[in-house]
Amino acid sequence: MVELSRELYDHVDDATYEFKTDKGLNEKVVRQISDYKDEPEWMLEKRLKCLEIYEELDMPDFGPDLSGLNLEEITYFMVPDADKNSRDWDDVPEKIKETFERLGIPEAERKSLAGAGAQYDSRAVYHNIREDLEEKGVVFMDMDDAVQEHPEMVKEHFMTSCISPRLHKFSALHGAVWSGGTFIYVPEGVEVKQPLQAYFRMNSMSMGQFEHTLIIVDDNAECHYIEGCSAPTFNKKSLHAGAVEVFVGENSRMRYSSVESWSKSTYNLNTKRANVQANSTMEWVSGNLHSGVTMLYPASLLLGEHARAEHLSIAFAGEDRHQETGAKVYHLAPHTRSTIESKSISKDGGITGYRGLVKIPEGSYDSKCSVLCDAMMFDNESQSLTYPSIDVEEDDVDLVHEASVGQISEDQLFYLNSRGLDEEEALSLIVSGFIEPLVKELPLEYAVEMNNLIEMEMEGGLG
Amino acid sequence: MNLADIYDKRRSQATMVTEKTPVTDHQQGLGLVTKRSHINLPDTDQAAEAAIQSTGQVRVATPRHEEPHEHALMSIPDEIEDRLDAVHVANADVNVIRITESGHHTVTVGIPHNSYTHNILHIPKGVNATVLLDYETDGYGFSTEFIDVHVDDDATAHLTEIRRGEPEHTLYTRREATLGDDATMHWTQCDTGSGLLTNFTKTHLLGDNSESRTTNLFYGNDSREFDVSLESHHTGENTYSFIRSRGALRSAKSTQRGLVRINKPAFDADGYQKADNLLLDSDANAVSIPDLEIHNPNVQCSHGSTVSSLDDEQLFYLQTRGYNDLHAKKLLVEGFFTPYIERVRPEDAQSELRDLLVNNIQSDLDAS
Repeated sequence: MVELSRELYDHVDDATYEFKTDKGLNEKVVRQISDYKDEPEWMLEKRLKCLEIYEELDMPDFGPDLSGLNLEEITYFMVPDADKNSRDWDDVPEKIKETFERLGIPEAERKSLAGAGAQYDSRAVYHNIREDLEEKGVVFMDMDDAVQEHPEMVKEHFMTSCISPRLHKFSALHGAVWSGGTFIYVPEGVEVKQPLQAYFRMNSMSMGQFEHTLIIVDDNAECHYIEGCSAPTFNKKSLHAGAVEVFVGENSRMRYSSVESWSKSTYNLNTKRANVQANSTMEWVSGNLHSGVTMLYPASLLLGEHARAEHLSIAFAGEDRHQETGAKVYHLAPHTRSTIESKSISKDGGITGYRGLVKIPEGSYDSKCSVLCDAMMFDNESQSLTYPSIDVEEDDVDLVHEASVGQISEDQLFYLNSRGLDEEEALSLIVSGFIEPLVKELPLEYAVEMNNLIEMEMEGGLG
Repeated sequence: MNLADIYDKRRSQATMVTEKTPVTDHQQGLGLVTKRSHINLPDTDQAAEAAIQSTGQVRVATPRHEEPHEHALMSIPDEIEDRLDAVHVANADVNVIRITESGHHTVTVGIPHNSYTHNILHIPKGVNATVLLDYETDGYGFSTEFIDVHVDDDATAHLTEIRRGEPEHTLYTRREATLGDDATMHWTQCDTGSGLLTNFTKTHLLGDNSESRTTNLFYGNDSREFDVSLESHHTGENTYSFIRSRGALRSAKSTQRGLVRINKPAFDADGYQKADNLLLDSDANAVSIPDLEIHNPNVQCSHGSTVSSLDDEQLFYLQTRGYNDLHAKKLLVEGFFTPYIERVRPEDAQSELRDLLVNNIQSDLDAS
């Protein structure tokens, strides 16, 4: 097992940049980005429209404090000096390769994953997919390339019926300056058994990362995509406002897993949303750690009969962190099902929050939903907040919500002490048990990383 | 400063902001909004002469010179930012109700149309009182009614409030209670009206070992809209709170927001919430928001909420026992409310509650 330490994530490369825009966001910056990428006219128009909406919309009036985020200080686009999308790991420049080696990316690919992509700041530097999948018509590529190579599919799905730029200020911002990310297409009847994966890395101070992930899973298909994110700690604030759009056709299954471990100076204001058609299942598995502020509420729109959504999430907030995660589920057809399970740990003055919305409008009869929130707190300085809301307009439904907050039980600690574990080991073990339902849903690589990250967060200051 | 002076100070603040302050909608986040801006306010004379009166079981010689309770007038927000609050404070008549003797008391509170009533209910130290507040409205217009309840050290209060109103009536209320050391409060509110009802209820468990049980029972029909928020704020050590809300809806909308807040000094606090919504037709809309804010890890907190229609399996079971569909439904409605009604004190309020909740729903079921 590779030993991880925060040093590994905090490592800053002195990578060189081929191009970057001025600080702040305006029409010139947006045009520069589009021009640099040599984008078709429709994408530039889309970006400019998003910029217009961004200027129109207000900052969110709920959740964590965003007053420390100066949107004028952010560099919205920078390109590392590397050949874009090398298919061979050896072609990736040494500096960048080192970082990803440290984070375990090529290793993961060699071992079990079907494809791997890596993005460094605004640009994807590496994408690879197994040949057998490519032959079946599976597409796994950088989002920028997809705009050029699959314009019809992108035009139809990019920020249209799934994530609207009008959703909130940061989805509009994303639409204006997005760069890189992953495009996946799984054709009808194809099952991708092993996970496709990507890793996003922010390396520069006061920058923003705005990757766009678009996943289209056709009818009778199956896919698992997994994503990891990290950034070093700087004393200036950086912004991550990505977007993940997932389209799940009929009788299909999609699982999206992510482990986001941005740094303390990162505002992680991410948007994830899935359109789920009849008889299909969408699963969200997410772990959020370490970033200074997180606002992330993956949403599932259950559009067809018997569609299902499963949300499983865990958040860990240490010192000076505010992790607000949650889930949104819209039951927009009859016989739809959803389950939401959220776990959170707060420690050393950290704040964890769950904010959720389940909506069942009239006509979505025989729909069922259950929501379960568990919070664990370590000390008197930390906070645990739960803001679930359920809005039901249909009488033929079954909806259950439960939440509990508590301290680690003395009995459990005493028992483990009596078995010879010291207090720190005992607490770690109890926390491992608490997060197990999530960790066991992740592939081995990520399960190991997740456990290590939690252990790192747990080190010192316990009791 | 006496109570009248304190109130007059707030009144002049409110008078200054009434015109400028809008009626604001409540933003819950993630796009969920509780709409209040559609509440129509009547034209009112602002800053009517302060009238502080005493009613009920009061033994106060000159209420105008009433010594204020240390937590007096908590129901008025520190910053008056909403038009509805401003209009209330600028215009309200204040009643002081002090229960000086243990035992059962019934107080009838008249809420005429376009009226603004501010009640202060004081249960002094060591008193064990059962109070039934019975509200009577004219059936139309807009009214506000605020109440501040103070349950002092070692006192016990069973407070039951019954409000009925016609669909043409709009009622805006804030209700705030403070509990001293070893104080206990059982607070039951029953609503079957008005057409538009906004109710913010907050209990502050300030004293150590204090205990609060808040229950809201409701039945909404005829396009009524209820916007109810029930909160327990724990500050004392070893405190206990339980918020229960249970109600049925038929062509009506209810937003029930619950909050258990455990403040930093509140070691060994237990806070629970349970909300159950019964939807009787497809025009019913239930919004349930059970929030938790925990600032001390040494707690046991949980909340649960359910939204459903009458249970098919239970209906089927009763049908196999020979009950027809209508009769079976009536029985289930009775079973839904009865355990809650039976806890209510004074006992003679129970038949009234049964009438308002169970019998009303049953006759609506008959009519459909």
